[in-house]
Amino acid sequence: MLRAVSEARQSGAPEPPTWTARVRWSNDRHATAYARNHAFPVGAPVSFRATDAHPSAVEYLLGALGGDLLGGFARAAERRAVPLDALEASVSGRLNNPLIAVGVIGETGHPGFEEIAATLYVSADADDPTLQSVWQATLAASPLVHTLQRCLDLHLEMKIVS
Amino acid sequence: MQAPILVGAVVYDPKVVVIWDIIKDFFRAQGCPIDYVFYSNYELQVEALLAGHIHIAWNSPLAWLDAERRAPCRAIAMRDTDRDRVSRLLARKNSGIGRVEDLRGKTVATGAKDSPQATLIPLGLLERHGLLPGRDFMLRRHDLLVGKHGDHVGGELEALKSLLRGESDACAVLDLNAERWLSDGTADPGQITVLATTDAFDHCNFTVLESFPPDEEARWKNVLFAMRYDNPDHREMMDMEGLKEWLPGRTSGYAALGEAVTRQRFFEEGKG
Repeated sequence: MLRAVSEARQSGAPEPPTWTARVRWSNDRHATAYARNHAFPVGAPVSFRATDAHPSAVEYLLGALGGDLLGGFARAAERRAVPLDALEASVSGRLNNPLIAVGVIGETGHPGFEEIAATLYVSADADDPTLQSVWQATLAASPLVHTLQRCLDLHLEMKIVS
Repeated sequence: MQAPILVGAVVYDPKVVVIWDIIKDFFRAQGCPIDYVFYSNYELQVEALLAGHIHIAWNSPLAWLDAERRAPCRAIAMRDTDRDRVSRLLARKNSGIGRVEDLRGKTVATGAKDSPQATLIPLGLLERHGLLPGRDFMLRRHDLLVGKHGDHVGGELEALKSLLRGESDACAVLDLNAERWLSDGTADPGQITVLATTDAFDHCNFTVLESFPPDEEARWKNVLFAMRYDNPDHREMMDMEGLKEWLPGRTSGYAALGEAVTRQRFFEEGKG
């Protein structure tokens, strides 16, 4: 990657874009992330409570994957002139051992995601092959799918709701 | 900044993390900062207490006995529900088993090998009736999450299910769990009878070494005892932890377990 950047600089080509977020800690136990013109709060890395003031970091990851899939699907559908009635995703994940994340002495494993499953539900005026084509295009263009599938078990499916 | 008092707790369920976050917030608000140290099992926690890594250990009754036999300790507080518990030996009504002696040659289901309420104390009761596992009856033990001393009740529940499926002739459960499972549909109360009830015993306590400063203990207990069930912030924690009031600790309720572990040579024989 560094060599590619270096070669790009030498050739005069523009540098690959980089995305950044600035995150600031607040004393009331949450962080605020600033990205471009947006700000959003981030609670604990992982939370076991039924309700919280802010989403946890692991929930942001799940939400980001769902958003990535829906945004990608909507764009791919638009390119194929497929009108969408409704689009929704359900995303769930399982950590290898969440107790590691809260520092339980004697626990084994790691606090990372072991698997994530996402189901995209679509209602649209189109036949199955067309929607499958949109779905495949969505997966091919998804930054998060391509990132996550290299490091955990990622189960993705599309369900057509009539 | 005042150094926090370090309290150890065994995480038998993720809800323990929520419970201690609430307790920690309250102590900090009261000017008596604490921090928690979580352990995966009671053996590690007792070692940490004895080594001075933590000041206070939220101990199971078995962990209390383990700590107290190895170093002078005090039990400084407990839940109202920790006092005067009993365990029940349950049987199916249609099984023809009406008294403890009828279990000779039968199968008895228990919880994990280190569960005071679902294994050790009930086996002590059977031994007092002259019944030894392996000799007089078959023991069907459910060793789920050993090291957590039966706190998670998983093995205890499996013992009850074993009875309901007809794989066992009796099972041992804590009174509070028997009440819950006979009222929530887990078991049909019309099909179950109580064969015997153990002596009363006490459950968990907050344990400190004898060397823990009395003024620190008093400061900590003052805050703990100030928690109120009618305060919604406290009630969430108290419901999860299963209490309505914190009470002073006492050590008079560990005789039945002490006798059971002595008879079963629990500590001498590699903890079961």
